[in-house]
Amino acid sequence: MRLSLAIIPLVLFAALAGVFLLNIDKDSSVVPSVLIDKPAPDFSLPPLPGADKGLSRADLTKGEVSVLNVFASWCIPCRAEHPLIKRMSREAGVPIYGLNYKEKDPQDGVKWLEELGNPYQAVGMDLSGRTGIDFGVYGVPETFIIDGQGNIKYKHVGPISTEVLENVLLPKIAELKG
Amino acid sequence: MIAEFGHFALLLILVAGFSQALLFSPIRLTVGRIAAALSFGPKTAAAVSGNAGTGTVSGAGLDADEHPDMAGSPVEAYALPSNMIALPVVILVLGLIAQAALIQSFIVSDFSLPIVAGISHSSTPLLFRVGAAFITDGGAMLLWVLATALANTVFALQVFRRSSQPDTSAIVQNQFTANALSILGIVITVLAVVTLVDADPFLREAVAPLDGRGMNPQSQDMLRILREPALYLGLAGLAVIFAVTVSGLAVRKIDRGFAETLRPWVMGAWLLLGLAIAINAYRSYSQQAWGTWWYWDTAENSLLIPWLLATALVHCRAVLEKTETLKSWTAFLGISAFALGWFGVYLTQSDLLSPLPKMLTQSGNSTALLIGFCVLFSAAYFLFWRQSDRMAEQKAFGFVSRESGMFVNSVTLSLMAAVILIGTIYPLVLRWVDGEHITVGAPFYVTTLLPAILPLMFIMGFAPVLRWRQDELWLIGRRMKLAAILSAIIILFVSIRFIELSPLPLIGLGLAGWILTSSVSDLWARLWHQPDHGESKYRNLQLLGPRYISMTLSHIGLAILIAGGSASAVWEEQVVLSARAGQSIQVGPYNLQYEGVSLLAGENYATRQATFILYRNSLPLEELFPEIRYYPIRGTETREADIFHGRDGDVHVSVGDRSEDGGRIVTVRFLPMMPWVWGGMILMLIGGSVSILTRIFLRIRKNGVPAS
Repeated sequence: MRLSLAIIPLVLFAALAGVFLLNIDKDSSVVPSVLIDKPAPDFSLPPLPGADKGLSRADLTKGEVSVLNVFASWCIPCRAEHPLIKRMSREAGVPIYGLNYKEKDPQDGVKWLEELGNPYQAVGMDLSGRTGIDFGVYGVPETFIIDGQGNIKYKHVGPISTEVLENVLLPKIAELKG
Repeated sequence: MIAEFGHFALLLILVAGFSQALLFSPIRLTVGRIAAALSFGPKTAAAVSGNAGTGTVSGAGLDADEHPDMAGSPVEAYALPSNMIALPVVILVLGLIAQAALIQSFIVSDFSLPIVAGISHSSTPLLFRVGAAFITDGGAMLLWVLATALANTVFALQVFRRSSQPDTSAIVQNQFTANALSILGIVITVLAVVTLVDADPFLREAVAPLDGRGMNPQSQDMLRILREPALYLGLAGLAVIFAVTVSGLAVRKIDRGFAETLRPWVMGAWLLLGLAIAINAYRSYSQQAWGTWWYWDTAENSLLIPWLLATALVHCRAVLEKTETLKSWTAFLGISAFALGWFGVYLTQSDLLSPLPKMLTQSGNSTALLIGFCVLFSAAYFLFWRQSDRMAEQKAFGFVSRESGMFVNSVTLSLMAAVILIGTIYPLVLRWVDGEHITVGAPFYVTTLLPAILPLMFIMGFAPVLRWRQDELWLIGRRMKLAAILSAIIILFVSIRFIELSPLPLIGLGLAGWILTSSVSDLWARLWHQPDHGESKYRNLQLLGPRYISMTLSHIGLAILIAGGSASAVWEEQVVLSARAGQSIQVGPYNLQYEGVSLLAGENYATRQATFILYRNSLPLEELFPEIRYYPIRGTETREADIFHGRDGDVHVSVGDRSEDGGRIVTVRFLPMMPWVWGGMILMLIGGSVSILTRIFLRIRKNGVPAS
């Protein structure tokens, strides 16, 4: 009886130490993969001023692979990756949707697309950032590849580079298209 | 060059710590005996002392140890040679050298050290360059090593003084203190290794950047820097408690003498950790503009958990000293307090719980810290398992007695610590197990801790008047009747007056009233109803002793803290508006006039400083200057609130961006009774200091008299 009581601290300690030792190599930056292979969160966003079509989860579940790109006019790296998004829209052969993240003024996004060109099939305006949170967006830009059933298959954090586009994103899309 | 010097000192600490671990361990006796048997003691000692560097360090110990006269009789073999005190002192000096070298590197902005380049900048003010030496992982580890070395030296002085005359009864005592010093040596060695492996602050890079990356402006804050020494000195106190406890377990000497040895350390660790918590609370209140004083974030929890265990230890150590009961429980707490303190440092340094991905936080590696934790404490808990049930608890205590009150108290406090620990690591474990992300915040802690806090506070009211061993319920009732009546009046008043408000803070206020009235009525009874031998009330106060005063002050402090916390939560008023210069804002009994914003330059930042004039009854009281600081080096802003501590509450003002209509977003909060929170914290700290200061004072006075 006494024996079993005194061993409790050792057991508890071993459990605590064990959990942390086992996970010692787990990098928290794997965080972005949480939603991988999970259905994209439900959302419905209004269109940009002047556009007629917003963005909702229904757009991602039409049975074809799609790409969701999170961007904002205030985000300098988004500007840098934008030509590659345009290239992706030409080469990938899948619809690309835009999530315009936390603009101060809805017109900012419109001006930005007018200036740089609009590669998106449809753009949803996430002024509050709520949908971004549901998607686990840490910062803009981020790019998701979503299969025809609306499941997130891949997530890229940060601006897309030519290497990433050619070696990761395009092959991934091709693979999903089967 | 200076940094290399510090690096070398750190390496020597490792060696010296290891020597201390060896020399004070039971191995020492074997070595001594063999040396005596072979009778070449003096020669070896001379040879060892002749060595350079560490040779002199270990030589001091070996010299005495291997002296044939010393190992002659068994009693003297167990005695600690008085010149072995040199070793802890040497470690302390080395620690000071290493710390000084690091601070020097920061002062001269030696950017070839990545630790300096990463956090400092040539434009950082001198004070914060010095402070920066404490807040990086490597610097913090070094500070921890230094603090432990300091505690080690003080502990060595404490026990060496006591073990001056060797006699037969002193064998166990000497074995006990020698073991404790040996374990402290191990702790210092492990900490030094961890520092060198995980976050070596003295590494150099071949190519130095032209300038540093600058300090995170959030850290450029006096309070943030002051917190570190308090925290690590507190942890060093816990390290001594840990060493003494493990040593006590090893020789099965968990008794009155053990409790007396622990006394200043328990109190000191409790005080310093409490100080760190208070500093941290005031910092989040004043610096971060949203102004809550407790967030339940990882850094705060990892301070709170060891503090709660230290509080539990304060109580059951007193029981152990008085009645020699609760032996295993005290030993368990003694180990666990340091274990969870260490674990807290690991959690904060590893940044495991940071909401940002690792690449963004640039946190270092803390694997060695975790491995050291596992090795040290698995051994300690193993020893606890093997030894604790062999310790007989001869005397039992009644269900209604001071002991059982203290026991329930310390169990509850430990349970609270466990709940907070679970709340802190649960998100992490969940993330590892199924990749889900959650955060655990105030709602969880409030709902889970409340069922523990409420009965705890109820017991706290009458536990101090309980008698040792055995007491009667009806007697307690008689002693508590005044307090019960008074606090019932308070509860009734508060609940009738403010019936429309949420019940929880009201319960808090009521219980605070209960603790307050019962502490004061007990103090009153002891001062005035004491058999008065024709002496003054002052004499009565003296007779109460520092412990009683210390306890009463701390209990009253907690009551005031809880009352203030509850009241400011219930009656908080918040006004957010877009203000224009000349506009007046009404909050609580105060009127705040916004005068506008001026651009000023700080030492390494630019600031938009708003000016407010605070009026009460149309009389100007004070000017308040909340700021938005912009630090160009990191390109970040911080918002500093300004706070007026009035007699009925705090006025907390912060400013934000310019709003769309051209005004300035101003947030004004009136927190009634908030000064009670700070006052309560200070009173608790004073309570703790009373106990320590009187002890120091008495010792000095005793030493002043030659006869004693």
